[in-house]
Amino acid sequence: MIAQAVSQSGVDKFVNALGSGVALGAIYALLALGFVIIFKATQVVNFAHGAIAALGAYLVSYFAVTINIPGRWMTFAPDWLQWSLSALVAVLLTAVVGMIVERITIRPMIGEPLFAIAMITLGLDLIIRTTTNDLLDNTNAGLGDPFGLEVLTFGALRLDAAQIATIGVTIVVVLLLMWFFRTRTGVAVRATAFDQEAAMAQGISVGKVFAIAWGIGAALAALGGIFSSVGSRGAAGVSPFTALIAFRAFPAIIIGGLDSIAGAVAGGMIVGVLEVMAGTYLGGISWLGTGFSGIVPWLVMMAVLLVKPYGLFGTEEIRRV
Amino acid sequence: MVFVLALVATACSTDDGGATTTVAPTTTTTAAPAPKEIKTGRGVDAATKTIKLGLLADLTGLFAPLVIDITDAQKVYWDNVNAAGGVDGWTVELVIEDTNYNLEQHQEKYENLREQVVAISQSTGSPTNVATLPKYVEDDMLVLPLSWFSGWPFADFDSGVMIEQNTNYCLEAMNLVDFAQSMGGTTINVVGFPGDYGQDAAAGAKWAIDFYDGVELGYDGEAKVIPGQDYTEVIQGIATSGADWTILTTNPSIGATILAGAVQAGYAGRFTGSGPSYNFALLDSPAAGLYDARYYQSAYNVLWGDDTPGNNVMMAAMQAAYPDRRPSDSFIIGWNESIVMHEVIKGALAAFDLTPESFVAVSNSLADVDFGGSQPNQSWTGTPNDFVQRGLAMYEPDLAVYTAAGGAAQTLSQADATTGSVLVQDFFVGAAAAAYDFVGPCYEL
Repeated sequence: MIAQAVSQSGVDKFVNALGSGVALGAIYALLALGFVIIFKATQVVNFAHGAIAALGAYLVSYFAVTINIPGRWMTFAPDWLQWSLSALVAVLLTAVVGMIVERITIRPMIGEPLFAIAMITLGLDLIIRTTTNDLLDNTNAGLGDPFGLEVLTFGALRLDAAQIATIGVTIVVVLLLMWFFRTRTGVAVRATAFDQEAAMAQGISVGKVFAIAWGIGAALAALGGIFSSVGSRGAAGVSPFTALIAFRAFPAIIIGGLDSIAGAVAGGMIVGVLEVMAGTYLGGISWLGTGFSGIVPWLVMMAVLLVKPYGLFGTEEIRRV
Repeated sequence: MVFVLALVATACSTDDGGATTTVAPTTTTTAAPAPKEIKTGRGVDAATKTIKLGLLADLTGLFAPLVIDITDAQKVYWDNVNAAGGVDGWTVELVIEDTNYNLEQHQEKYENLREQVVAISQSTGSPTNVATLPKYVEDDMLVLPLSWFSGWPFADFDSGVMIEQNTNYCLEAMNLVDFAQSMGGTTINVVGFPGDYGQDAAAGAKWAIDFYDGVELGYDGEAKVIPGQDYTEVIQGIATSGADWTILTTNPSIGATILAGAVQAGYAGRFTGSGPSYNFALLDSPAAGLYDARYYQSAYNVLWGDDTPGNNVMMAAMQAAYPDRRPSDSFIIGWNESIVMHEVIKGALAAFDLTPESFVAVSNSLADVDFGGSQPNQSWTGTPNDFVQRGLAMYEPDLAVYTAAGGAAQTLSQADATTGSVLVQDFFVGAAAAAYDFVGPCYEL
């Protein structure tokens, strides 16, 4: 069998890299949004974000594949609906885990040095990651998703169903967050983020706001974990490597601004596109060495910080760990 | 009882001029004890007739799925040997430490073991073992590494304290090239991790590509796969290479991402890879269809369900010990490690010397150890070029076979349990691997 080299025109190559980059950027944006919401409301740098993402992906595998809930009670429904409901259950459960973690380990630390709280989240990362890996038997597990690996073609653009779903879900999430921050609870979160003491003086339950922020943050992390474990990017499903994707999203968080929702989305897109573009166009340049595409987002992050120390959309009064 | 009968039926041990042919644990392996006193040392208690072996096993880290099964197979092996009377009356006790495949933890855990065991019957990893090698040498600690780095057979590298098993990554990759070219491959991509694993294999693959007329290197992805990073560069490299074969030296989940990404990007060729690049759990993933259609699995041992005398004994023992567990292709690795260490103990007993130094000396004189067909016989005498293992078998993942047997729901108690791979080519040594003058490690650490 003689395979034929894939030949793409310059435009096709660029369009496909852009599309793939936007899809990857959407995963980063979901992760960054969760991270930023937790930071914005609680001032906590959550190093356990990747572990929570992997836990969310594992829970989808558990509900959709292992015990088939709620699919076992609704066999009349199409597969995609059964899977979506399993994913929803997993995301909600991950949100509950986030709220429990906040209540037990973070809230007692209110008023304590931020460095100490960051260290607690590092410990949480290890605990949640190890537990998830144990549940996975330290191997990979498919999520039973309906996306498959088939490529859909839109003119020059080639994307798989998982990539399209990732972009679509990210858009929906951003719209929901925009709506949420205009609700009464959302305003309370924003007020707490702006000034905790003033918010408390106005009768806002800061503890409740913390719980909501951790719940939303964990749910968004789960979405990021799920979409990094489907399609070709997650062809083996969720694995002990899934948690690492959160570290790749860090430049997105910093580039956008640690406390900016819009910045999280912009940063995610910038990093996703940069990574894929670098992999596509710089891979053949031997003197750049191995793994240069992974460095590019960090180089851009450093360049942005040199010009705008609080990121593209960040506010200047942030305390950084 | 079934196990004991199986032992009696299949075990044959003849110490005839250094040749050893043991396929399973047995209680009838040596002559009656001589009145001569047996010399003992660290890790051996003459009063209770107990020999302690250590394991530095990655039970929670990167290779845990492999190592947990390997470790459990060793436990079952020695439990059965002990239950049947031990090795000439000596009980073997395992002391297991979890290293998390972490270099610092590996060294810490070795400190826990170094005063209490006579030898180490499994130690996970290449970098971990290389880093701890000076201590092994200092202690005359015989170590069986779970690492297929091509440097282990060389005494000037390991001072003879390491007793490696199976074909190394380098010679394995030569055989992968041989297999690919025998299937019509003319342009072969080489893709893998940096370091001893990926680059040992890359060195072997490139040597074999040069060896065969009409075969050329396609995309050179040696050391280009950095775990945790984006793989677009590698995927693009494969997709645009025009090659008909790609050899992966990665882990299963990263390999799946690359394989699926390359196929999506238009790559039409086939894949194979170093042994640790594949895990049958991939047949439960979205990539299962691609593995069924495009991938060929390399194996140093037979797989679960294969009918060989050695494998049958192992399977019966594992079924009895863990009837509700999933089948695994890793059990046989741990089982065969135990057979090697069993031979070392028998050799040391025959020499009336159970000291660490004796274990090391015996390990370097084992010849033609028989694994009952579950891997090629192996020797450790002469020069590395004489005794190094060069062969492997090739399998093809078959989703239909796996699914028909019950897929992920299978248990060991199931008679037709399978990990889903079908033999394509029995143990063979390709022309390149046979011709290779093995006088040093293929990749320098």
